[in-house]
Amino acid sequence: MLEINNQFTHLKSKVYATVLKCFFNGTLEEDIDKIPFWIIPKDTDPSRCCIYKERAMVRYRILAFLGINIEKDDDEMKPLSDYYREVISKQMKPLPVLTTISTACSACPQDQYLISDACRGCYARPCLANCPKDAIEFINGKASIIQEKCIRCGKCQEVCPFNSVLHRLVPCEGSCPVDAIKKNEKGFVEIDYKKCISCGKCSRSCPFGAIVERSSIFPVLQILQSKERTTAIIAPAIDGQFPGTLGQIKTAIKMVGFDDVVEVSEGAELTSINEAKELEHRIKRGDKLMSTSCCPSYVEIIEKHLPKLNAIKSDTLSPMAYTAQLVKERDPNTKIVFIGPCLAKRVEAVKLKTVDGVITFSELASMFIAKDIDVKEVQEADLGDTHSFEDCRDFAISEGVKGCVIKRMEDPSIVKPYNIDGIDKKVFKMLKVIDKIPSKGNFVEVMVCDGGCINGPGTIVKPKIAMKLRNGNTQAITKAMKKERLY
Amino acid sequence: MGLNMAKVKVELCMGSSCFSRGNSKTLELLENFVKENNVENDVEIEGHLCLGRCSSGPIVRVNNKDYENIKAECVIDLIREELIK
Repeated sequence: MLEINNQFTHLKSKVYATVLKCFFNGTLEEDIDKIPFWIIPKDTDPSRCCIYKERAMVRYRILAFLGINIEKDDDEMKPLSDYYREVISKQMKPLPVLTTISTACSACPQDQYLISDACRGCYARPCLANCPKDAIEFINGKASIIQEKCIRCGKCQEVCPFNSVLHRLVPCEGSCPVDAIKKNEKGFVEIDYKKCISCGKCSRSCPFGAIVERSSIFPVLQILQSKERTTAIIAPAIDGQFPGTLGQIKTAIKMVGFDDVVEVSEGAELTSINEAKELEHRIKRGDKLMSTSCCPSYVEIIEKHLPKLNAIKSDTLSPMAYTAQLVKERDPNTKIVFIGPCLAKRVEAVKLKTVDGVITFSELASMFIAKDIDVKEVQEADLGDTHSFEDCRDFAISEGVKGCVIKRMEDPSIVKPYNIDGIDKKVFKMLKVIDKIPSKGNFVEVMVCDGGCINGPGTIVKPKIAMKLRNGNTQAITKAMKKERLY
Repeated sequence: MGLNMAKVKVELCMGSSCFSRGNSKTLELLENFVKENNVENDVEIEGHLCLGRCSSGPIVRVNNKDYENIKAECVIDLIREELIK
């Protein structure tokens, strides 16, 4: 996965903020076609072939931000203003969440093991001895790999004493846990949506920005402008994403135009209570294993790849679902917008129907920038009585969910918990047989993102720094954010 | 039981928070209690939408007096007491 701090994320946040600034000024329709020229002016030193391609890429970023399914609906003859008019006049299909930009794709060749100059042509030659396919030959006293024979097992890399074997990766394919990324006949990236679990790992891995999320911020902006009451429900991972306290974040969100802000941790408490009851019930019934159900990408894995795991997945609703329920009970007429780190939550929202919109922390940050809201300068809002669900803010961190559930059981001694912290190709293979392998316990917490939601695709702060801030060290983040120019 | 002429009014918050926190069990016990003791005419059970005090729930109101964070068994005891009064 790419480090969060890179030229692509900087460009993305610049594009988002510029588009939103124009939107809030009411000039987006007339200005939207000028934005690529503003962001890539004539004298730019291009990182791609030329400024014209760079501008075309900015255009694609804007299309993605508008929520256009680029793969299907890209028409280069059509001005952005036409797209914008469409976006605000008709409802778009919110799924699939991801889309690809084939012009951006570098058509990376298949992954390969290569021998670098570091090879000293040593006498022991463990590469030669350990290659199961005799794919190593020596040319001019140095090792070389016969690509037609190589099965990419990586043994030579493991045994080389000089570290001279390198594995050239295909970032998108390598990061997809479920092999949903393929290349078309021209070598450009394509997503198999029947397999895709909307985890967003590919879009975070591609160094060319060729896989992007279709934002659903415009429907949310329209709700905010409509004068309807709107409640933001904020995921527990939000603490640590902005240089301020939760109270200040709440104020800042209200300044953007939301009428009320409710923590999803409140619903997470209900998830914990109900999952605790369900777990006790299942163990007594003789079930060998139950898994959590709060990670929507994991739920997608079950639906699209491993339906048999439905039997072990808890039937308890997710924190987002319970929070939406609570909010609707208290205020039946309000619209509900989930603000979180997750792309797959959008898939869950479409199924649920109680959540009217989903945006990410990075989109929220762009709204703050566009409205000149400095979180650390705003007044702190009252968070209300949070004592009963304070611990559930840990739902955002790996191992937090299982902790909250076990704490709420009548008899915690019957539980043997373990957790799956992040799903990659290897873990996915293990998941396929999770009900058959000797069990590590009877309760498993599953998170698709390594480290939990604080490392989700919609976050803007490195998990390490986010943790520092969650623990009260506000200076860490202000410093980091200045350096990273993300907010 | 049943000496009291006035009905005992029991109001339960049925919001999803109170419901999860224990009012689902309370309702079940309560209905069984009423049936087993033949006090259908003496106890009136009423459900409520969210009363807005989720985090101190479950909320139960017995004869207009509010009880927070109350267990199902305690509610039955309270009603027993009210019926004998």
